Amino acid sequence: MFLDRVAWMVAGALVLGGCGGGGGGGASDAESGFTDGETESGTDGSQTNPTDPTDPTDPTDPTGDTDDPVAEQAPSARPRVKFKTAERYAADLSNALSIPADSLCSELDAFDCVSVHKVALGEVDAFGLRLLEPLESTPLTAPIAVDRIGLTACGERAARDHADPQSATSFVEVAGVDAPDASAREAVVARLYRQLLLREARDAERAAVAAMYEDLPEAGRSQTWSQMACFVVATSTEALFY
Amino acid sequence: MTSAGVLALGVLSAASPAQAKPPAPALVCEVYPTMPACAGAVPDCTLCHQSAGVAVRNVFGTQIEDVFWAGDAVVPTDEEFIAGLEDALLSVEDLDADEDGATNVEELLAGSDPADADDLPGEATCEDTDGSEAWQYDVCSPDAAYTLRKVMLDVCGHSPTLEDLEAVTTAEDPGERIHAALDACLNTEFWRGTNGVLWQLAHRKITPLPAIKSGAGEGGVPLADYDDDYNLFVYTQTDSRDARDLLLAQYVVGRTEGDTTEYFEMTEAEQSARGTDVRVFTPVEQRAGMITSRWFFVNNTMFTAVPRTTAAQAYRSYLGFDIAKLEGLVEPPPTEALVDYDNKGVTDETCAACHRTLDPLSYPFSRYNGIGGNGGSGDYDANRLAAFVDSTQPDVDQTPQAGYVLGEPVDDLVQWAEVAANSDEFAAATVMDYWVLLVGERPSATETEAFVALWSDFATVHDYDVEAMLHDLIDTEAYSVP
Repeated sequence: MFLDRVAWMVAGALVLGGCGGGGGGGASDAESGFTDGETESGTDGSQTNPTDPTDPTDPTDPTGDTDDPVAEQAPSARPRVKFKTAERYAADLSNALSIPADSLCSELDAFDCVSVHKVALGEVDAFGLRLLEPLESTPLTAPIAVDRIGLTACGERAARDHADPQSATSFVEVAGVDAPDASAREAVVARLYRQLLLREARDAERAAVAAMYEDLPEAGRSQTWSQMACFVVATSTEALFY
Repeated sequence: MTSAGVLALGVLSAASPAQAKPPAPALVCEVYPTMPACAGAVPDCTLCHQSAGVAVRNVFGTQIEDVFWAGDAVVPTDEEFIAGLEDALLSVEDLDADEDGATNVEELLAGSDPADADDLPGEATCEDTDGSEAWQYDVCSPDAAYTLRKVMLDVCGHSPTLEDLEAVTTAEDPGERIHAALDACLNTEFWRGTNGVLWQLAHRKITPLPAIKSGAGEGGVPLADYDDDYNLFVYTQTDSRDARDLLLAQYVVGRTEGDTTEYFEMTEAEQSARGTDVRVFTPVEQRAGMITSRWFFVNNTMFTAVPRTTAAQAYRSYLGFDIAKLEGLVEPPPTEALVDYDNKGVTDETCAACHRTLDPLSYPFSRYNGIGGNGGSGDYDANRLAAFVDSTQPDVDQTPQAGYVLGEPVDDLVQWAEVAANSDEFAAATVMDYWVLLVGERPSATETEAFVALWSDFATVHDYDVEAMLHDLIDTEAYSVP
């Protein structure tokens, strides 16, 4: 059940963070799932209220989408989306989670994951493998590498925050709390969206990620949820592409 | 295979051998100047031919053949070909060679392949859409936050902060913030440091091979130090320097590493005082930037008398033409006969289609040592070819030093470099590198005009200053519109 729920959430995050152009927060409508009346950053550059209580989305739909957002938005004439590549992704994770880049993740407690997986994640290796240009297509191992880095980095942040709640940077409202309530969890989700996706979370997004808590095993649930909530956001399409 | 594919294969199999016509790509651009492939370059010969080096036309080329010299067994002369190609192109405009539903002219102007049924013209452009006032995001207008985010990720290596995004979104002049961010990013280690973005841009030009590197981190058989090449490359691309020094520099650039990587011109005394494993032996007056570095000759010329690989690598790296793909075949005038100095069979008609361009392009490189030789690797030796004379190539020492580049005669490699560095092709190739790096792909049909304007400005308004050019690049619709 737990894994099913996580898979559901990852799928939801991918839908929420679907590729496309970018808006105020770097996300297009298709990415953010905005519907009528909601504008993250309008064409006039204004910011809107992402916590609009009139949000018409169905809370039972984990994607938060009741309408097809693509239908409301003309497609880009020349949509171009680039993968962040290993270094950029690591830098963003490092900044978002306040963890030094070389501490995000290590293989066998000896090798920096980002370096180990750099070719799979779009970097070159001119002086080692004599790979002078990035691979033309994404290798099968790229999603696994992203999951590995994202999961480990999020786990590290969750462990630090729960071990020392007074110094928490991402999971402030739930760190050290055995059974955080929904509002505390939603506050954490809102922070994760700001830290990792550089935008405000929609009501449906906050609710969906917060609700994942109910399906987790009871032992260490608060810390596990922290790690998984972070993982869902940090490995969404929106977090990986620009 | 699709029915169209089967048909195409049948046509190709039946097509008569056809000599590639080097003037053809340029002529195509005269007829269709807005073709994306004509943006600072010319189309590949594969526009009409089955594949590079194969003298058989594809389905589009066969249509031209059918109207141009149908039933005529005699291959037209270059003069007849030049005189008739425009009419031939126009007469097949409304046909659909690959039967994909788009006419030949639609495909040519859209940048898709008229001989490939799987390659179709792209989607509608901004000019074709309306109702943008109802969109949540206007995908036809620059978006400040979107652009800032891309600039920061592309050039700084990380996203901006949420506060940065909010500030640029509400700023009175968001462009000022975006360009300030670009300036800051251009000074980061991510961009210009060791193994940074600029180094990665240089990899294909330098093609490093650690096994034969000398100097720091030397390999098992140290022959030359490509650090010199990376240093010169980054030096010419930064701090408003003239990018033509890629081909014109007669100095050597050093590098110091620390919190920030610094590149500096070495004095000749400093460079010549270096160990023999890394020292540049080439006399100052015979140097021409990246294409006379010790590494360039060791890695490309090696033990070759007439260094065609070296010339082709220079042509590919700095002028954007890959002769292996039949690109940039600009021949000397017909009065300059192709001579097979090294007995390689280059005058065979099949080979000559490329070698009429490649061999005169290579001659100026022939006086520079590859690996070893009098004076050391990479040194200039006016009598170098005498050492290559043997029974298999008794006349190789008759190879002239003078040659041709882009159809212009040159006396030596320094002149070769001057012609190349001041050419439109150099400006276009340099800008294309950065366009592909930042935009993500070559210009589309609708972006051709902006691309041409950008490289034209690079050679004039920007005085070959890469950083000034980048400020204009991020303002293009291709980069700044979601």
